[in-house]
Amino acid sequence: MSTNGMINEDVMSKTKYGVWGKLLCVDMTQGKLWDEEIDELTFRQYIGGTGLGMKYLFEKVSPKLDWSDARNILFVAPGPFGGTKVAGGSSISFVTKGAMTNGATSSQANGFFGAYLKFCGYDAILVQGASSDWKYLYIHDGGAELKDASHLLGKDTWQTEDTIKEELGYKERTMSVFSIGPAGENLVRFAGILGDKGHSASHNGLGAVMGSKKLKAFAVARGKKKVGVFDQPRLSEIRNQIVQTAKEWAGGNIYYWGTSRMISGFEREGLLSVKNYLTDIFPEHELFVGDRIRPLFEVTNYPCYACAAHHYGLMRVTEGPYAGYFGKEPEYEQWASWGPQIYQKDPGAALMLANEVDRLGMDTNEASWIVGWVMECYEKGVLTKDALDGLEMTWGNAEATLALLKNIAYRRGYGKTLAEGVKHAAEQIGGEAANWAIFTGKRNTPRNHDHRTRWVEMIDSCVSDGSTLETVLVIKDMKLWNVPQPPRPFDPDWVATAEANSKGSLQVSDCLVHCWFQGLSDTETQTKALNAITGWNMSVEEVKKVGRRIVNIMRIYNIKAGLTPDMEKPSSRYCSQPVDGPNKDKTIAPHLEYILDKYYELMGWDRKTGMPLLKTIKELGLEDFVRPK
Amino acid sequence: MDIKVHISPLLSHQTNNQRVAEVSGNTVGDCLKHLVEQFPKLKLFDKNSELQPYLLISFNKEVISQKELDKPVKDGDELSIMLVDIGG
Repeated sequence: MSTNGMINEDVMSKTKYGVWGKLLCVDMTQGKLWDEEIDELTFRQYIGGTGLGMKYLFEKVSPKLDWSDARNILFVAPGPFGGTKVAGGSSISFVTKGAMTNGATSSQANGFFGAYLKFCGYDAILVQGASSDWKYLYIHDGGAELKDASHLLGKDTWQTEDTIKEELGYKERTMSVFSIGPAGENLVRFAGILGDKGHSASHNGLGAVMGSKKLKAFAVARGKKKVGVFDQPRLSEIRNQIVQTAKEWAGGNIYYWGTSRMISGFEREGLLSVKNYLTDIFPEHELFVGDRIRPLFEVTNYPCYACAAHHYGLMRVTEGPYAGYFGKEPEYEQWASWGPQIYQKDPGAALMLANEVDRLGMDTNEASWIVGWVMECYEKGVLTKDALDGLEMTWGNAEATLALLKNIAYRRGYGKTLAEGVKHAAEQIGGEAANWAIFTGKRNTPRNHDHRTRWVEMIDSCVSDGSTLETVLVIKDMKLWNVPQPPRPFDPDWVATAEANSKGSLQVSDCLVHCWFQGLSDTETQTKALNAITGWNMSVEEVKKVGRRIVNIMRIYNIKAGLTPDMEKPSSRYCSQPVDGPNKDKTIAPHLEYILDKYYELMGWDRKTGMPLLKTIKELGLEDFVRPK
Repeated sequence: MDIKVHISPLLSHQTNNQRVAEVSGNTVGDCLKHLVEQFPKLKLFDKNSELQPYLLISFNKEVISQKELDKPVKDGDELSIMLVDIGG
């Protein structure tokens, strides 16, 4: 029953193991909320998270619509692990038609949202329509309601979180708040959704979609319902296995230190993005690694729900011009973005910039590709101080970078152009400068690595249909996914085969919404955990098939949306040959077409149209997705 | 034979921060085992004595597989141990 935008608890689903069978529907145009049932068959076909989101996106949003159309949906869901003690299992997945590619989008965030939504008795949220005035969605034990958000406008994501908690009377960790910052309010194309002190779902302009609906935030209380588990003792065993594996994986780097240790390892291998790919050498890399930073800066461990890892913390800078600055401990992508990528050598400044980007509510990767490109253009005289609204965008200038980021978030001056993304800005300027930008033809944003050293990830960035990582170079069980070993990073056949064969592994994780750092895309263990929670008794092959189906559903959607294979290419700088470093003799450019040809062939897709072939459609039972409506 | 092994900084906490080590052996596999004897915290092999999937081992700059651990080594050869890991 829906009255004045509030709903009552009398709309209930039957208690199930792992899932409630309940979807919260929100019509922002009408200001109405209601519940719908999700049946068990649907869960078994899509599992949850991204899978469920793609089902609804396909059903409700024509691929021909623009991302900013009110009929676009924003779908939010954990998976069946949500609210259980599976380490890393309470992450949240957002699915929509994204603002950068105008295609399918799936992006995940850690924190508490996934668990708390389940504790309120919901499996997912579907937001559609657009409000005429700003609202935030408050979900609690009694139901859900849309509340006035006009007083939150202009607040950054941390301020929004704190303000909502205070006005609703919730202490830290008794509520999860995910919001958009000024960037999302101003429809910056690469705006993200951030919450729980810096967890980020920022791919493909999720925040812009949320802003287009005038939805400022999701605020989910820690409800009191307990998620049913079919076999708790078995789940506890599996949980312990997951934790033990994560501790031992790859030297335990991420488990004990977070992702910052990658900076040094990657620099040595030529994998660090430095100065907009102008070099692969960054001697200052050791200044940024966790071994140095954690003892030096003040850090407090701040784990996600049911996570025992020491991966995520809150941090205060203790030296340098930004001493005293407090924020979240940056992840690798953020250290890389605001350190080497803009040739900035002070970790305190990098921490500050990482946090300011989060607060403004933007994707750190796209933002740093833009800033790096601007700095190069400034150095070479293509962009002047006047053109940049008085900013001296010299390499490593942290204050000028901060000012530029604010101009982007508020769409001021040249920031208005940059708010459309680096591809747009580069093409607008034209000339040689257009060749200096790092992007993909589809406008998926590459992560902050030098992918000229990791070809498989460059290809993945170009071809991904969810606009985020679709495959991971490292899966716990490569044999299960037929990924040939050992990795041969510069072998075109290996690259195409690894990329194609591992497709689906990360989608399984995203349907379960299981943090990769804990789950390691270990499909076999994840299947055991899924069965222990739900009692569904799915086989590993069935679960793998769900992953492969989601990859292909996204592909079909995107082709119908107008994305074409010729867009699946790196920009000329992105696939250029490194000029120094350990891989200066390597270049993907001559092998690109061969790799893509082979990838398409292995995926069972038509090379010209990009559409899955009939054989693939039949194998995966996707007929309903290709029939005309 | 004595050869050098370059160790990824991501594993240096398991090698007392040593990034280059000297090892001995007749084959690549022998050399890796000698490395593990020197640094017992270093887990290069799983319980089935296979190389961990997250490792990239190169021998004289060529990536080698599990099947190639019996390659003979000579003085002056070099091994490199890298981690195939991701940022985030």
